[in-house]
Amino acid sequence: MNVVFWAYVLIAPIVIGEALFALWPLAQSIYLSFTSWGVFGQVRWTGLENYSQLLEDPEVYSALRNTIVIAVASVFGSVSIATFLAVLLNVGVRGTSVYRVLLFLPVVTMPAASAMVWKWLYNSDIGLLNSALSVVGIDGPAWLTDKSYALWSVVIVTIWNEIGIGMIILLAGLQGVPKSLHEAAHLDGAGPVATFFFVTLPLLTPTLFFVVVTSTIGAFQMFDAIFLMIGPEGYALDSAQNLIFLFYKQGFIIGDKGYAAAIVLVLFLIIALVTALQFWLQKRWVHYE
Amino acid sequence: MATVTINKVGKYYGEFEALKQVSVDIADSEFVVLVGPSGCGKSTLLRMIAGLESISSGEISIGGRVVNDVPPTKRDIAMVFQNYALYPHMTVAQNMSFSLRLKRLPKLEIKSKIDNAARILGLETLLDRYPRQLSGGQRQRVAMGRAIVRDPQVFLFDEPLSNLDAKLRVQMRAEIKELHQQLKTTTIYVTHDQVEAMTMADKIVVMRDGVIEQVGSPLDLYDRPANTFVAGFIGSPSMNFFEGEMTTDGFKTTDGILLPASKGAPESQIYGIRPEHLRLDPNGLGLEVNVLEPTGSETQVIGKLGAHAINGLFRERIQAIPGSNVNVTPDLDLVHLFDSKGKRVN
Repeated sequence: MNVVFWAYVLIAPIVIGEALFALWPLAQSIYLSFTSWGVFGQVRWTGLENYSQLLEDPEVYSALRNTIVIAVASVFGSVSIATFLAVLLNVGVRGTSVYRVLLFLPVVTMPAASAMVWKWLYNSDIGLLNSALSVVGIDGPAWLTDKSYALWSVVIVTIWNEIGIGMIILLAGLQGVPKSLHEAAHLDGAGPVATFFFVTLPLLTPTLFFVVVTSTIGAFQMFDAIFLMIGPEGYALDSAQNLIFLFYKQGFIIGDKGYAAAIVLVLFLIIALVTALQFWLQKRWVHYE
Repeated sequence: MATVTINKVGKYYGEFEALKQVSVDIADSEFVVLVGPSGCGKSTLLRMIAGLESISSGEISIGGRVVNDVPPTKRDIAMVFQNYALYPHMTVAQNMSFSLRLKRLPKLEIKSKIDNAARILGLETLLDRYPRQLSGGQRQRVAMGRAIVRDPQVFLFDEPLSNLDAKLRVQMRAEIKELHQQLKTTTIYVTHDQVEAMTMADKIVVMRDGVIEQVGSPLDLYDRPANTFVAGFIGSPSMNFFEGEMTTDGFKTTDGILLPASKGAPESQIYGIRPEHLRLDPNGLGLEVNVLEPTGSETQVIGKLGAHAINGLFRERIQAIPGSNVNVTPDLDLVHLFDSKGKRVN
């Protein structure tokens, strides 16, 4: 009895925290998604109206497409580059720790600060990127205001943000691969490339799976780069905004919290489905010891 | 099959000299065991033969070809690692065939080699399993199978039995020896277990602190150890040593005990006798019993002779209580005498 009591006391902080800051907001969002908010804050039960409106809203489809593009491109880009860099650092090049710190810096940099820097880099008139392109005779585009480029500009920043954390986790995974397996592969006649693809990469798949799942969830919820670089009034916003930004716009700019809640719940379901799919598919490519 | 020649090989890690001018000749088909305490350089030497460590000085030849600069894969050797180093994401068959697939051998040839190795090692029913689904002994066999399918000139074993329990170790010891007798491939085997070395080797290389202390057959090393280190390392329980000096009456220890010695025994400062070479003798020296360890087939007496802690091993069943004496005498033909530096003199 006493043991059970103290067990509940010890788990109470996490249970209360989870209930207050995760379950209650989720329940509130679910409730809100079935309501409509008036200009003066009056709430009206509307049933499935928000959801039917959502299904007919072209802006939602556009945001969904952008969400998928950002998630797929940034996860693929960041995980590929992070793996490549982790492998390089794992080889033990001179100054490994310095490179590790440099590559991890974006993770600990304030999103607002890095977005400002990127905004300057992307500036079509005075930005470093276009200045560099002009040196080789290329007239650079308006990265953040041209509708053809805005989404990809956001993707690039998202990749840059995600590389550091992925690289550190993958480096830890690489260091967990026993040296004797590389030596055995070496004796078996495998060169560095064959060793990587036949031995290292399969053994890295549990770590890769973790990085892919967490990066995907993060990419679906990406907000900072769009808000800070393109902005709610940005000319190219339609071509770059994702579901989470649309949720923000509906909920906090337009003030329709019911519709915003419906959008964010759809996003929640998409993330849950994609994550479940990833867990189901892992049987085919993740090798656990 | 091939000879292996290690000629004045040295190894430095920075300033630290791990191997000092080591030379050993290993004949074709020979089973050689490198044995010594941790840190003696035996695994380093094995890894240098494999090509996994660079050679700081000297030469290593396999089959008459100097291999100092030859990459591991081209040395025609196969190695069994201490932790087996099986690829966890591959089945037993895939583990065994990995090197053959890399060589792009025809599928039928690969299958034939795998089946043959599996038959030799009793792995036929395990080919589709993953390493995690195998016991320690089975993993060990797969590691050997992976080596066998390559049909190498030399097998290298790096403490392959150290992760197994005592019973399985004895069983695998016999299996490895049987495998060697069957395949007759030159084998270099590293262990710190002198029993493993004694029971498996054609030739033992005893190492300490990066130097070779003695090379010889197991019984050579047991019967005529070159120095006190080898004498103490080979044989279990270890040899008993007494310091003192040879007199006309026998060997007088520093605390005044007179130990019998053959007539004309050379001048010496250390007297060694193995526990199993002490005999019960009513007229012998009084060995004060501290502990008796009967195993059924023999009895080990752990006790004191004067101030010296010594062991005795007897076929007889001894009934004695701690604190009482049993009278023992050394077998004079089997006494080992060493000088003050520990070098054998008789």
